Amino acid sequence: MASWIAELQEIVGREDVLTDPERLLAYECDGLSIHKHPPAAVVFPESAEEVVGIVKVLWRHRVPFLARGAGTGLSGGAVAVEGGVILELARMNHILEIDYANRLAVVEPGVINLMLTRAVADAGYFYAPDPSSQMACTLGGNVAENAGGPHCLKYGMTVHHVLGLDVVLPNGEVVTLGGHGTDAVGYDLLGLFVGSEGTFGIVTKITVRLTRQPQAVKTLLADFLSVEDTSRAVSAIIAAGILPSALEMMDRATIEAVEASVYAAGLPTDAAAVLLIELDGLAASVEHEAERIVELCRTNGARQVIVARDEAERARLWAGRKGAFGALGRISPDLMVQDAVIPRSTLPEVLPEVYRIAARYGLRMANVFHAGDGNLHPNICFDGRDSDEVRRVKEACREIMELCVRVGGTLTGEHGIGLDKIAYMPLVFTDDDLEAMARVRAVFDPEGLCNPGKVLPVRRCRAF
Amino acid sequence: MTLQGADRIEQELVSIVGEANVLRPAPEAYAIDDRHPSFVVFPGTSEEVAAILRLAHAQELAVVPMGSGRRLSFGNLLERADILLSTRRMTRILEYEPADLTASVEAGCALEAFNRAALPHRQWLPFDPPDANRATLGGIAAADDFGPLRHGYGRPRDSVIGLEVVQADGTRIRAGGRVVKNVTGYDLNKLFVGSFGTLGVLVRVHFKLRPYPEAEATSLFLDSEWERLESGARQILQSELLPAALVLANEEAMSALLPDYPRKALLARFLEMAPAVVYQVERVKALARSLSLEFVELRDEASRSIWEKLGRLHRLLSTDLRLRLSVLPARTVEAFCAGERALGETLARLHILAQPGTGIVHIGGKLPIEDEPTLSLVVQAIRHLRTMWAAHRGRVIVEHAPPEIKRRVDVWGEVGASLPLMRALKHAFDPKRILSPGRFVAGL
Amino acid sequence: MAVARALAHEAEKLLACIHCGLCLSACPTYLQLGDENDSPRGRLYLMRAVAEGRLPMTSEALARHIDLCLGCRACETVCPSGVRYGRVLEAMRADLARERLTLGQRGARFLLNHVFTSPMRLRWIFAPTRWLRRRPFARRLAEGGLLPARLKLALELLLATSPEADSIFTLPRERRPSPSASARGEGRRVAFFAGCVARELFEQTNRATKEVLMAHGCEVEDPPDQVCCGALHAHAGELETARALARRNVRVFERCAAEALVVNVAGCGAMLKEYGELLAGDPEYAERARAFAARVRDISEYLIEIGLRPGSRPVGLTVTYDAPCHLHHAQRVTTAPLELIRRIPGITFVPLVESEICCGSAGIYNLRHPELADRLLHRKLEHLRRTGADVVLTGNAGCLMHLRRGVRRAGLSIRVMHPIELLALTYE
Ligand SMILES: Cc1cc2nc3c(=O)[nH]c(=O)nc-3n(C[C@H](O)[C@H](O)[C@H](O)COP(=O)(O)OP(=O)(O)OC[C@H]3O[C@@H](n4cnc5c(N)ncnc54)[C@H](O)[C@@H]3O)c2cc1C
Ligand code: SF4
Ligand code: SF4
Repeated sequence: MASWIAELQEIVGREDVLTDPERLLAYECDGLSIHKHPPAAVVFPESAEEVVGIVKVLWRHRVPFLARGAGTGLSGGAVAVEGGVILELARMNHILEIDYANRLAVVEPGVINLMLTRAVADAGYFYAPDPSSQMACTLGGNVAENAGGPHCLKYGMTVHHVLGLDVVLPNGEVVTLGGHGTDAVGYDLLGLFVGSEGTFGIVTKITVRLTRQPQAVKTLLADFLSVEDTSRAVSAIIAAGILPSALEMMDRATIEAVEASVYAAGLPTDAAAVLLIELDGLAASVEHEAERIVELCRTNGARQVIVARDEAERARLWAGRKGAFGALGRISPDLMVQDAVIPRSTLPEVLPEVYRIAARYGLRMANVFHAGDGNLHPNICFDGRDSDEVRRVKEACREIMELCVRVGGTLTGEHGIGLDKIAYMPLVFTDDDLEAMARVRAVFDPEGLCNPGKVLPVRRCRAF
Repeated sequence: MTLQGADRIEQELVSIVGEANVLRPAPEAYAIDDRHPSFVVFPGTSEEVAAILRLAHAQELAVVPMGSGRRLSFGNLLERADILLSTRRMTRILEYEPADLTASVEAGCALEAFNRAALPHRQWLPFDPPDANRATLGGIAAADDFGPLRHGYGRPRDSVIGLEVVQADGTRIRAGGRVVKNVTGYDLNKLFVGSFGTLGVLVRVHFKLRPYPEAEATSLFLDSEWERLESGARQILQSELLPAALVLANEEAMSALLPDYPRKALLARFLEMAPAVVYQVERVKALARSLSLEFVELRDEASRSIWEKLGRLHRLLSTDLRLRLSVLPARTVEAFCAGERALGETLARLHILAQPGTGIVHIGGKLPIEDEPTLSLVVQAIRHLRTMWAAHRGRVIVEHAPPEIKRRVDVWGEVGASLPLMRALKHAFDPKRILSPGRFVAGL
Repeated sequence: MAVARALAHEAEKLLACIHCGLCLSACPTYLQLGDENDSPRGRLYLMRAVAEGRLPMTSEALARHIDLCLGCRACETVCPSGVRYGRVLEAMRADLARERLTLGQRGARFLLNHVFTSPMRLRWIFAPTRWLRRRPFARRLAEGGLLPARLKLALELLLATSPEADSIFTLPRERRPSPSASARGEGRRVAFFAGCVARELFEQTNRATKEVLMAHGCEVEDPPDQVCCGALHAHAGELETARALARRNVRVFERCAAEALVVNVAGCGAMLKEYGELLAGDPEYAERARAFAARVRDISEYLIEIGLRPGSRPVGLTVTYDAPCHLHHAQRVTTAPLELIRRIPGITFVPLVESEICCGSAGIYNLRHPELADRLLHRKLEHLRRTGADVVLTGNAGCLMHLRRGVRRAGLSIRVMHPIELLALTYE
């Protein structure tokens, strides 16, 4: 047994260091199960002090490590590619402080996104970033990935809602980034850290902004007979200067899967695609905007636009949307979810092309995505046991990525680069760009111990 | 720099940007605090910027990037300033696709010019930093420079989606992109936005835009005491109302803004669909009644103009000391009262603008005389405020002050445990310290 | 690979798990332990590893984490991909039961296969326990420090089956509320499934159920030869015994002409509703079992279906509701109990946070894993305390016992009842 294991046991107790290979199996992958790499050990710290202790031991022994939240990440971010230790933070799940006067909450990283919103709902607040995985993913994971979600169209991403972080650096030192409610001075390390995919250190405390619930919410469902019309409606809405709080699209394959799942929402299964549009804010403007959106949908070929009657119907529509990715699991043994972003105006041109690519490779595809900010999520159905199909999936993904980059888009809007998309990085960034990123990483992690093998491609002689 | 050396450099600069675009020595208007750069250069393209930096890097010349020069005195005293690099000639709008609600501009593009171009599409960049009428978008990004609209729209940092930066050694890199949602690689935008030209020269900025509001109005509450105004602010913050800006202003500030109302005031700016503006104004009017506060309503142009004036307040009052406090929002009033107590005796025309929604407090005034006792009183007051507010996570930044004060206090204040990281970042991006050396926190 | 026989049938269901992790936060054991291995996704992963031959059936890890599963099926309710976790788990446990038996497990197996299969033997076993729970010394024993932990726990649970002491909560004996005028003459016939443990220990709940049914104009049949539903067996992997019990119940209730087969224990209800699947492979019984299952209704479900008519006596209480897993997740009966409760006259209803999360009772889980069960119970009690309710209602025997024991030990003044008991009190 490596000596560092004994040292870890000393910190958290024998029971809370897993080293039995059978019990490490479940930790070999995250939400994207095609990348499998078991760690050498898993530890369960319960406090920031324990995290510091663990990291110091690992630093001393030069053992690579990474944090893991709920493991819902979709880029292979929480996978120990180079072995080493996973710090599972699920037990650090306490809401430490809720301060309505300053509209902020202080939480441990293992707090589940939705639990925070639930905790403040009665007081009339919510935590705005709402990834579709919000019922399970942790705020620590959200910070690491700079998670988005349907309502980020209006409210912004995680980075716009994080006010401060306590971070254990890879050498075990603790720093505070941001002012936890006030402006810090100096470089925006807070903004830089959010979205660093767990490669800059381990977050042990997070201060987030709480947002007031809007006075009025209106949820519309527009259904269309062609994907092209649907995309045109999206572009028209954005061009008209209306910023819905959410503007989501689901195509027929997705609708069918959702309707067959526990999250059936009463979506029209004969539509080519639907838009789920939400407006919120002051009743006076929401009314007005809803009328214009109905009109825009109609002029762009919507067959029908309905308005959710009550909170229950609204909740059902959203449950359907948020369960969509999982529901697709019903129609396929394995699922590859892609995450690319394009300028919104190119949607009518790009989306049909994405379908054509899938067709060319003989793959089934379902699209369910954040149309309002041009964040595509093509889901490709396949069977991992069929190696030829796996190859075709990979090639199709590459073509889709190239297409998106060609029209001015980028590789990922919210899931991160992780392990999965490293190979595509040179599509958007030059060697100089990547080298600058590598310099930043080296500032935080000079020894390359913290979640190694992620984000930046490795070149023969230098890592970036 | 020897004289011959300087001549050679001048030649090289001229060969890069042309004779008309090099000034030597810098005219008085280009002095930064009490420093006079040897050259002012006006590159016209990012290639020219890169060439200038390659030269400076090789010769270890200190380069100070500037936009309109509005914020040049923000920061610690420069250690060196050889070349002042102005983006004045780089003013193009490079891409603007209204259907994407994004745009990309050269760093020297003026905020006003851009917003004029976007207005026909009913879109805009909702920034209102001090002297907004002169501001360049590169400058706004480099200083993360905000005004009262921060309350409703966030900081410029939250609207920057991509950058092109010339690094200290002249290599160009890109950060982010032109899409509104992007987590591809590390977000280097965050590193450069707010770095005050100490890590690289921004040459191109991509922004996400906002829909331009259909209507606007400003409501004013007036009183002679803070108490009820503060309570009004609190009630607005806890209500469904969505002001784009919310500011408390003292008598001195108000007498410059609206000479008819030289009282303490709460200003709420509403930018929305027309019916929503009407609704909100009615709501706050009722609120004013319930608090028995005097109420004034300004619509459209009158509303716009008071905020425009507010952005120029420091000029209207010939301010030469300006502090920015950042405190927890619930302590806003407490903070400016503390500021008032600490500086009220020393400064003339002490004016205060505070944002109860964000906890940002600006205190400005005029030094009656720059003698030793006054200076040391001011310095003491700044130190006192810093210690007092450190206990509540508060920060006190000196945004503007005469060099004599800057010599005695770090304008940024303490950085804390993350300073070594910042030092390492500076070293990683500007190992020879040629970019605005000394200007940033802890003299980086 | 000789192992994973039963599991092989469920392989497709394992594959349906796309590893999204949405079920993690629904899983009580994961919420407590934070270990992926103790999450639904992790358990499915281990099972899949067995099916794929990457993990031996004899794996220590597998046994441990499958054993720690409550079987509460909260994961099924949230799984968008429709993974039938309960089925997969039963299959896995059946395989495990064949592979490895500890002494304790052997004892449990004997009880399950030979005692719980016979009403007579059950009565014989439970008679002394009923006697015991009335003795004052039993309470003293439970409170004292003499008994070994597990025995003490069992005794506490037993004591928790006795009806709430307070008289307003106790039904007068031998009362027969007359059906309301409109109910009379409707001539609905229902069969009552009394449950094995419930018949022995929850007389009052059963009596209340019958009374309420009668008040709704139902004629209630209670076939004496019905047997245990087989849930305990199925959950422990004793699928064959479960099937034998199911066949017998199918036969017994085929003789009743009732329109519905009403059950007041969520765990039994869930099992009965799954007879169709349990006996799907039995040509003689498959169709009959499906017909049987189609008639099964939870009492709350049934009353709402036929039109609930609460009595007129207001109860004047603040109540909250804790959803039994086997009602909420397994049967997906989620709104009926709430509607029933809200319509009890004189009720102030306060929602319970995490009401859909297991209290730790989970069949006989609390006896096998007392420490974890206690942690879950503690979490539940914290939420209960915050409601400020006088009464917490829950429609499952195991939950009633587990919560009552918890409430008593924590010294809370809150009462734990079956919703039907409270409803019964409203009839004059
Ligand atoms: C069905 C489904 C829907 C999804 N929808 C969305 C969506 O709408 N928007 C979106 O943005 N994402 C979405 N995701 C992706 C995923 O949920 C997010 O990336 C989420 O933020 C991951 O959180 P986690 O707790 O699961 O993190 P993990 O997967 O455990 O970890 C993710 C990364 O964060 C790091 N990390 C975790 N905790 C810490 C910490 N405390 N300190 C430092 N690093 C840490 C890990 O090392 C890893 O690199 C979805 C995923 C699924 C399965
Ligand atoms: S929710 Fe369903 S598909 Fe997702 S991990 Fe859990 S069991 Fe698997
Ligand atoms: S049945 Fe309950 S305890 Fe078992 S995995 Fe599912 S949710 Fe967890």
